[in-house]
Amino acid sequence: MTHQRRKILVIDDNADHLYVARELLSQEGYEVLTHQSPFGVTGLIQAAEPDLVLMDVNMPTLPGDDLAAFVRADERTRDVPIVLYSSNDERSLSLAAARHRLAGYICKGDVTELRMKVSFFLGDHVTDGSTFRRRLYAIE
Amino acid sequence: MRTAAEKDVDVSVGALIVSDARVSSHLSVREVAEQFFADADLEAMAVVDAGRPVGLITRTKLLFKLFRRFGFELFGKHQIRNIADATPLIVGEGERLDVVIDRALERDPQDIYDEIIVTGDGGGYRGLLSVKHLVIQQGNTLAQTMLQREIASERARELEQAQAMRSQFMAHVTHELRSPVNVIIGLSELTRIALEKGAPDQARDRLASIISNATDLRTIVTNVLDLSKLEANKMTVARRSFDLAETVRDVAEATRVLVRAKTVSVNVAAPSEPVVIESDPVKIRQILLNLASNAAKFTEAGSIHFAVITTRSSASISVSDSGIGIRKEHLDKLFLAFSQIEDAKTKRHEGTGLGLLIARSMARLLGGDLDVASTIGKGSTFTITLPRAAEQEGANEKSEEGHDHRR
Repeated sequence: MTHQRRKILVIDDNADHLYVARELLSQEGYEVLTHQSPFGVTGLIQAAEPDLVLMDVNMPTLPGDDLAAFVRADERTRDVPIVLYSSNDERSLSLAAARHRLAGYICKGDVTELRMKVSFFLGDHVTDGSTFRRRLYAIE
Repeated sequence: MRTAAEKDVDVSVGALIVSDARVSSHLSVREVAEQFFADADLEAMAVVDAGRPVGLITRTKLLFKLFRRFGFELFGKHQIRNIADATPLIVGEGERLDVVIDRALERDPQDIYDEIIVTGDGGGYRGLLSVKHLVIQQGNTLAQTMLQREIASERARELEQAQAMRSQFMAHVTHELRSPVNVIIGLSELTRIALEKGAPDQARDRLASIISNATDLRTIVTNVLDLSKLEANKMTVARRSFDLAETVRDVAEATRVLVRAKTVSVNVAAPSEPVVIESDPVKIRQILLNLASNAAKFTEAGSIHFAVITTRSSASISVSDSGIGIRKEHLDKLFLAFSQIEDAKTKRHEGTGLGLLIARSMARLLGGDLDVASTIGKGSTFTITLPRAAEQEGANEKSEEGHDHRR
């Protein structure tokens, strides 16, 4: 494993989803922070300086894609890559990620995809980057 | 009215003939003048020879000829054909209104008069059109067309809105179904890892979470299926006589379990003697459990009160709580699929937001209804009213076997 304890912040309003993400990603050797609310995220990013943020979309009061756009609009937090991580349709996720110029999206429920994509977004190219990137951003 | 307007969009002029006044081409000017004098409303006549129009004589033109100096003397004995307009505008009865108006207005200014001759298929005289009348008619047609366009675009807007709501609904259903499935997949993988690591306690905890998520999933699946059955008119009703008060006391007991961690009292006010009604006890129980679990969810302290009130023909059950209450502007949205007051992308409370919609639809299926009254900060009261006996010819009635061929 090449990651030097890379730090991932997972934001989700559902405790079960947070638990699953934390446990699965910890297994991969990452340091995982979880936050069960869409609020206080910019402050948390500044304080914890994560290498990657996994952002749920359907959350109380503030949808994750809007929150991601908000984080990217703030110059103190704009450089951290944000990936939408949701149970929504893949197409709607890819469109939302493209619209807000986010790093990408990961569909919940596919453990292999989670591992591969997180590794990719952190820059650990597990496969040929160009073809993988094309798959990641595929919007038919 | 509406069907006539639809046809008028390309109406033919045969239907708009205002007069069939005619005069033989051999009559004298004087004789024709007598006819105009005799009928003040007569404005023009076609000059007809062997059934075919050969000219047009108008009151204006005739009077103009006759009343100039020596007019009568000069023209009185002539045949009318000599002073008639020999090249009037003649159109076939099948011509379209707008085409005829265009042709009428294209004529030389001195030839423009109000009448146009209409002929049938073989060129025989049929009657006269009034340009003024045609223009009015066209104006009406245009106005009706615009009204229709307005109606059509309004309908298109409604359909679009319904379509948008349906796809929004589908997006919600998809998310609500997938979310617990995804948790279950993740937890299963984690359980596998725990077992491989030889950590049975961890595996056991994760299995408990799997069961809990699978149970939630079952509720959602049941709700979605119930809703589609209700919307497709496929929900069956199994009626029998039963004691409504007993059902309410059962549901109250279940509610006590739901609020056991809170300081909420649950009480029932019902007649001591059985309240026998003829309805579907399973569905009524489902409606009541839904109302009870909502009351339990939104009430942190205070009480949940069940009341059964009967009249000779109907029974009502109210479920009142001392919970957070519902804003007035949100009351209407309560019974909409997935509204959950806030946008589902930002939904706050657990649940699919389908429960109340299902509860109301079921109450209506049973010939009753479900209503709500609420004061923000004080609590809400949901009231189901039900007929005590099945109506023989009720609009929503179904046979017990559910043989329903309406859709």
